[in-house]
Amino acid sequence: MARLAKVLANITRRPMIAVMMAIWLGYTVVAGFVLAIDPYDVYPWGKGVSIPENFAPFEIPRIMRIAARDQQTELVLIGTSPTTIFDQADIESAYPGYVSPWNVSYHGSAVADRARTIDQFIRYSPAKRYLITLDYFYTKRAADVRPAFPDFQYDETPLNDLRMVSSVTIKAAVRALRSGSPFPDARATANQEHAFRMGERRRFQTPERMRSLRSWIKEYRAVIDKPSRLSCSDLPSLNTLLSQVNALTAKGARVDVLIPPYSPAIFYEWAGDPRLRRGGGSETFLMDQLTMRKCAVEGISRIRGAHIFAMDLDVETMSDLGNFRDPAHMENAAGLAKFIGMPNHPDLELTASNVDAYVKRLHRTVVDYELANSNID
Amino acid sequence: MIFTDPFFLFVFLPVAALVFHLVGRRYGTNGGLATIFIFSLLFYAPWGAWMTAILVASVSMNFLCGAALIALGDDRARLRKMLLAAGEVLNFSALIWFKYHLFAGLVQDSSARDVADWVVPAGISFYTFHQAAFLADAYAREANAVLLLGKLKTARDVATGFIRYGAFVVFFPQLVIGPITYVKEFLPQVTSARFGRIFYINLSIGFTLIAIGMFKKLVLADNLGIYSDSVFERASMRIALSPLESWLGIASYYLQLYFDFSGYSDMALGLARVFGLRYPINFFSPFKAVGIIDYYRRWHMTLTRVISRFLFTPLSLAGTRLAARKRYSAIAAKILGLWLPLLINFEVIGLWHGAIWSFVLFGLIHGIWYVTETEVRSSKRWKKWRKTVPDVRRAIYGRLILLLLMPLCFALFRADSLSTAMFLGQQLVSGASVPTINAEMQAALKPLIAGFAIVYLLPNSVELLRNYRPGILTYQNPSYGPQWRLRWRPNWGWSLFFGAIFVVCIYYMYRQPPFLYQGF
Repeated sequence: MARLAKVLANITRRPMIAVMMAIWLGYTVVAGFVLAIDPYDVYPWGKGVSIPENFAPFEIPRIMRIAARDQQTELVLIGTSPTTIFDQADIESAYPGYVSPWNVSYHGSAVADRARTIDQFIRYSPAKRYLITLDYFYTKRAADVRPAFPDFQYDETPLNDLRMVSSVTIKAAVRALRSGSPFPDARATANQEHAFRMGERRRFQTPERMRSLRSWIKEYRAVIDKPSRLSCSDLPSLNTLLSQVNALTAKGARVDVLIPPYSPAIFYEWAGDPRLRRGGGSETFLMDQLTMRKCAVEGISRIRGAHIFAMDLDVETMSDLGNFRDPAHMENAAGLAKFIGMPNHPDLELTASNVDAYVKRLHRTVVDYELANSNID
Repeated sequence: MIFTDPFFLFVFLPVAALVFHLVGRRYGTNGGLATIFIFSLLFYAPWGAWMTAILVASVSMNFLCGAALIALGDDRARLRKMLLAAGEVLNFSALIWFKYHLFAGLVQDSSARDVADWVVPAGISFYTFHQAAFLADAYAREANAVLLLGKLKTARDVATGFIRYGAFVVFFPQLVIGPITYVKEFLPQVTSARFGRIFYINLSIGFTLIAIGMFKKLVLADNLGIYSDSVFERASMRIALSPLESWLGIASYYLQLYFDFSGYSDMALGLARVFGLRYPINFFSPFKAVGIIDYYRRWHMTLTRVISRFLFTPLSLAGTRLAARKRYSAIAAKILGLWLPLLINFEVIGLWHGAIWSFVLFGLIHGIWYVTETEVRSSKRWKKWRKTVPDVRRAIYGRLILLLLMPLCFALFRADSLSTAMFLGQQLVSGASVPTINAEMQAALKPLIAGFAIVYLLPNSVELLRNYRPGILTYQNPSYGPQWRLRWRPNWGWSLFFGAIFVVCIYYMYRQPPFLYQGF
């Protein structure tokens, strides 16, 4: 008792130490709680969490390891914004033989994020089939993950794991403890996603946007096929993807690489829009993309169990911007069904023998492109 | 690691302080310095193995050079001079190579800064200046520089000297963004009998400064950054902005940079104080300054004094001597002895931030502004006018000029290119029609108003803790603004207040944007 009184007296004389000790202790308890509950199933001791159907793609980056550790899943779709629109039912209807498919696509996914994601599946997943999108960012050299990607959940070092402790994860841990799922009401997040897409579409489907696209087409048509300086060895991001595809097929899985359906307008947008030019756009954007796609086809064709598909030569659908919420995101129902089911159409497969003809035709399609929008025209 | 990282605050710092206390108590100064040296390298290691190797190589090279400068006798004056020159050339050529081998940035006016961000070793600007100053002290056989290295007669002496020097350079609170410290400020403290132990009063002052710095960075700067980033991003896309949006964006950045950098400096002072060390103060209410001369005695003070010592003073002396020798006219003497050195001084400060045109222009404007103010203040008309106008009113005029011009200079500093800065400048006067106050702008207004209120109405951290001498005063500056009786004491009231501030900061800790000056 006397000792306790002495300790208390000491603390009273040193209030800052008492306050700081209390904060340190409080933080340690909360951090310990979050890490012990492990709401995103990052650690071996995670109690396992259930994920509601159709929750928003905004939540996806945090649950990569949960998806990868799902022992039921047979098919995984790994992509970026063009494939966030597909839900489990869409995938199941395109691939009826596969159970519990996962779509781990999310908006703004950087190439480096996807490399981390695929790595999780190589390590943990028993899936038999993978659909991986090959977007235009695979020409980029930079290997930074996007700022909001929770890299600390997936990297090797434990030194940054405390970053996981936030008001969001504390709530998630409490929810996981109570209901087994770290996520809030699935309907609310699904609505959030729908509202996001509608907002994007509303902003794009305007005469002003069409006017600026037309002006870029006019301005850049003569230089849109400025030769690329890239060669296959200048594409480290693509080469990483190829080695990961190799690793997945070595585990016995089939991998289908899908080139998302972009409007030909996208090549002019990347050449003309100052914002996109600052992000790497230029007059060589088209030829860089064609070089990258050719390298991808050649690389994939050397991997047994891997295939690559594209549907950009469906000129009728691609040329009409009424089918898009912006030049990179198709919204047309029939087109989307075709996109997700490309591997079911052997005529859409690109191989070492047809890639030159594909590149040539796409090149011509873009150079000759006249903007059309059935929604506005 | 960065100071706001939870691992740093809740694991690294307590462990480092505890080990320092245990080792320092048993092994004295050298034990304490060895602990500091090892933990500082551990602090730096997450930036990468090659960056750490460059740091260690730089420290080793400067240690050897400094030791040789001290050891060589006066009869080898020429060799000593050559050695000093070689050391400084190596230091600055490494800095220039890493920071400015992208001089292409000046010609391309492109994203050279982005590229520089990932190739420049963290903190190289700061540890280069730090060590350059040490070599000059070693050359002058400054008593503290000599004492720091010791006698160096045996291998053990050399190892001890290296660790002492290493701890001085790499001490983690000041390693990445300063303050740039002189050996005369460091050595007397580490040779004191009190060094090597943790004292309650130092912990209290340290934690208070850490809480103030974290609040400035995580709550004020990072929230202001959301709006300023949005405005500068839109300007870089050439999206029309209204004059109101443009001014708010520029004002947000002006405050963001101050709170970010001074927040880091407060944390650095606090962290050093936890280990019983008092470091030089880097900021003293710069926005309350009454002119640019006053401003530079209050903003990034340790850079100002090091540039002034090694660049302005020698240039000014050389110019004045040349003018006297050649018997130039008074105006020519003034140009050589004052104007030109000042212009070069500010151009170097501008270029120190990076090799892009907007920094060149930033340096030039500040140089011209400084020269103009110097001339105005020394003119007869000014002196006559000064007698007729009360000090308070004159100070208000000075502050208004600073408040109008300085944010515009910092807009130049923030813009990703000269053309973006020009575009933003156009929007300030002839932008799109005034928009309704949207949610984003509303979100910016609160921290903006709070920020300006804190800057102009409250005492700064040094004033608040002045009874406990929180840092070494680099320049003697008067306190401006309302003279509150607020004085910090290590009592329950202040402890609970800063504890609450700390908890608020923890809420924002999940975001980890780097400190703005980490890019320099």
